[in-house]
This record gives sequence, structure tokens and C-alpha cells, in this order.
Amino acid sequence: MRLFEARTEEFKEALYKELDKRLQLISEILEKRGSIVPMAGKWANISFVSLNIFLVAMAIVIWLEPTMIWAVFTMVVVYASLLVFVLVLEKWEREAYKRW
Amino acid sequence: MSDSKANSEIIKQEVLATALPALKNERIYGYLDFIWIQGAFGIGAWALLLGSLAGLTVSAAEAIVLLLVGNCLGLALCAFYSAIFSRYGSEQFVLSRAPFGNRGGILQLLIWIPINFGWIAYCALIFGEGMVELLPILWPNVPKIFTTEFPGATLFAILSIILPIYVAYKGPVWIKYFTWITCPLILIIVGGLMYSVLLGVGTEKLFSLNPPAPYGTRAQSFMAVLEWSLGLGFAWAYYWGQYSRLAKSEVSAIHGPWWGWGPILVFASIFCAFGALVTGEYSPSKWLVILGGPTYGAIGLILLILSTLGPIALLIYPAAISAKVAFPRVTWGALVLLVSVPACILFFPQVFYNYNVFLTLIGCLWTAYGAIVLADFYVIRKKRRYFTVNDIRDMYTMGKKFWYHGGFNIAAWIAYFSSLVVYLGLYDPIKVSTGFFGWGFPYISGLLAVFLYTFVIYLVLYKLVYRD
Repeated sequence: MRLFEARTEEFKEALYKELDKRLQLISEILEKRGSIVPMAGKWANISFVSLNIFLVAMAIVIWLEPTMIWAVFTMVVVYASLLVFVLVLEKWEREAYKRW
Repeated sequence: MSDSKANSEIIKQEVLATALPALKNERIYGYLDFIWIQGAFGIGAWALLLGSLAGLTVSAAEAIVLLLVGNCLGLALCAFYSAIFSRYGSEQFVLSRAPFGNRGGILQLLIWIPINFGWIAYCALIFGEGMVELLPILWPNVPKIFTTEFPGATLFAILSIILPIYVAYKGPVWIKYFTWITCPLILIIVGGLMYSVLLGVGTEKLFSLNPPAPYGTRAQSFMAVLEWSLGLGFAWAYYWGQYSRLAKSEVSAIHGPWWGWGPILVFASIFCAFGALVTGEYSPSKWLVILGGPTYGAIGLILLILSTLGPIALLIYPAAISAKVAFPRVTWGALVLLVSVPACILFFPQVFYNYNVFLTLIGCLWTAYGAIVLADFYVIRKKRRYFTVNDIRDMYTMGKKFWYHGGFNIAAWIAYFSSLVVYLGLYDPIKVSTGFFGWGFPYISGLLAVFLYTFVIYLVLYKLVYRD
């Protein structure tokens, strides 16, 4: 094992023990919940993918009609809405993870 | 302090500064933290110079959309793999040992550190270029040597990395507070400067201006800007993990950096595109003075100079962490110096003026890296319910499970290097034209094609080479 070879023997031992302890703990959490922290939910993923598809659509609009400034402002509104939406969603997911 | 207490304190530091997996209660970055931190990281030289390139090449409306689409799409294609690092709390180049092999992960690190020198160089050069423009305004009798691009800007560039080296040395908590202050400040100022450009020039005139240096056809200019933006978007492939391992949730790990490196970064790029479009100048320090005059130009230059310091610290820190994992014998301080100081060999004007080549030619490598990690995790590992704790232990201890052939996953490495051939076939980054295949660009984006190619070819080769 090379990971902590730069340390003193005593400290190296403490670190190995810590690594093992953590891996054991992670193993138990993964078994129960699949992740150490709240996993990304369906809605967060859908909103993320939709936002990026929307972006590509806007690029096509501007390629076809470069003077469509409204498209640019629509993007700003959509972005701002999704930022708030995901912010609320993330808080909710963290709360749900705590309650679980 | 007793020995066990001292050890536990040092172990806590190890979680933040090196390799131990971070547990839930040790996570320090929430969604908003990420937006600010990666926003501060994002608004660096790369964003400003990309904006300038876009402003010289396409119209204002096209620049806005292409900068957004290129950056955000490049990021989005890699974003989901940040969930890996947040899910297991482990560092980027440790978990990269699964797709590239236990020794291959270290080789990836050795490829990435010189790439990181390139990014440090662009930040430092912006600092230097800003200083040589600012000094004559503040001090009219300044010795001439300090107003030249070489050696003046180069000397200031070297000085610019001293404070960021110290902040990176102090670790992520310092970085967090450093960026909580600098990011909103920079955003407010960029917004103010954008407003003054829009007010001074007028939106109608701005949106009707023709770009000063377009390529031969509209398609070529349009796709060139998209390609550069994608290059920057994919460039973060090497950076997701170092921060995501400290994320409080997977959503914050995926969405937070996307916002910081995506729309917030692009906000600054757009302002730069306007500046370059109006003045016809590439260097932000030059067009700031032209647009703002001596007073506002000087304020803009000071802010520009300050804005480069946060990103330099944020470049050095993850490189030092990853190097610490691979080379544990070397002390933290020495590693911080080793991953930052050699960048000085790139502090020259020739590097500064060839940013588009860096974004695309070297960009192919980070695009291929992102595609391989994503394919490995979401296709190969997903079938086996992702990583088990034994898998993670194997990666930490350089065991047999991810040893493949002599420590290298041949499938990943063939896919990685062959992507460069495919890329140069589709796109010539130096001439910004079609590559040696004789077809491709500007009808196909070279980087998007490389991403797709690497993703697929890696899975095919993996299946052929490692049937089990």
C-alpha cells in the first residue's frame, strides 16, 4: 500500500485505521441509501437535461435568424426560473434524506 | 494535546487536503457555495479571452448564444459524472483509476498537471497585461520596461502567482471565504461595466455591428466560436471531482458547478465579447482603457487584475490535492509549489495570443477524458451497481482489480489517444478549417464528434478486451 507511506509508523497506522473505518461506514451507508449524500432526484435531472436541450434549440433559432434578440431574453428568464426551482428542490431533497 | 487527539485533528486535515473519502458531516459545499466558488473560478482569464475571441468573430447576438450553448453543453455532457465523486467522497484521480487503470490514473494526472500550467499562464498573463496598461495611468513616469508585453507583462505575471499559492496552501476553507468575497464583487462590477458599454454604445448599435475579424464564411465563424466555447465547457472535465467530493448533495455537485462554470462564467464572457466587438481589440486590458477612458478604464483594470487571483488559487489547489494522492512522499507545501511555479515557463505573449489553439488542440484531450469516465461509470459500472467498497479500497491501495494490463486499461488509452487523430482529421485548430479527412468542420463540431466517438469506441474496446 503506497497511500500514506510518507508518514511515521504510528501516524500511518492511524490513517490506515481511519481509511478502513471510513470504507466500512461508506459500505453500510451505500447498502442502505446508495450514496453518502442525497442522490440527485428525477426532477432535478429532468430539469437539467431540459435546460440544455432548450439551449441547443436557442442556438438553432439564432443560426436561422440572428436578429431574434427576444430569444436571448427568453433564455435569461428560463435560466432564472430553473435556478430557483432546483434550489428549492435541492433543499427539499436534503430534508427528505435527513428524515429517511 | 494527546497523541490520539492530535492524530484525529491531522486526519481531519487529510480529508480536506488529501485523499481520505469525505463523509457526509465533512462536506462543506452546498448549492450556493458551488455557484459562488465555481463562478469565481469561472470568471478568469479563460472566460475573458474566450469572450474577446467571440466578439472579434461573430455578431453580438450570435456571441451570446454561442458562448452559452458551447460552455453549458460541454459542461452538461460531463456533469453527471460529478455524482460519482460526491457519492463516494473520493478524489477525482483516485476514482479515475477505474477507467484508466491504477497506474493509468497517475498517468492522467501527469498529463493534466502541464495542462493546468496552461490555465495558470492565461490568468497570470491577464494580470501582467493589465498591470502594463494600468501602471502608465497611475504613474506616468513609470520605467518603460514595466509597460512592455515582454518582459513587463511576464514579470508581473510571475508576481501574480505568489498570493494564490499561499491561499491554495491554506486549503479549501480559505478558498471558500476568499471566493465568497471576490465572486459577488466581480459579478457586480462586470454587470456595471456591461451596463456602461450598453449605455455608451447603445444596444441597437451594438447588436447591428459586424464582427471585426470574421472567418471566410458565416458557417466557419459560427462553428469556430461554438468549438472554442465547447473547448472551455469540456475543459472542466478534469476539475469536477476535486470539489464535488465535498458536496453536501448530488444535486449541488451537478448543478452548482454547472451554474458557476456555465451561465455565470458566460456573463463575463459576453461582456468581453461586446468590448472586443466595439473596439476590435483582443486583449481585455486594451479595450477596457479604450472603452472606459483613463478613469473608468483604470477601475476596470484594477478589477480585472484582482479577478485573476481567485482562479489561480482554485487551479493550484486541486492539482496539489491530486498530486498528493499520487506522490505521498512529497510534502503539501512542496507540491503546491511544484504544481504552480513551473507554469512560469509559459508566461509569454505568444501563448497569450494563441488561446484558441490551446482551447481546441489540447481541448481534445480533456473532452476524451470526460467521455471515457462518463462511459465507464454510467455504462460499465452501472451494470454492477456502481462501485463497491472493495472497488474503492482497490483504487486507494493500487490493488489488482483495476490493474488491467500492467496498471493500464488498454481500451481507455487507445480510445483516448485515437480521439486526437479523429479530432485533427475533422478539424484543424491552427487554421480553423477542415482537418486532414477533408470533411467535417464547419458542418460538424470536432469536439462534439470526439466526445461521441470516444464514448462509443471505449465501450466497444472494453467489451472486446475485457470480456468479463
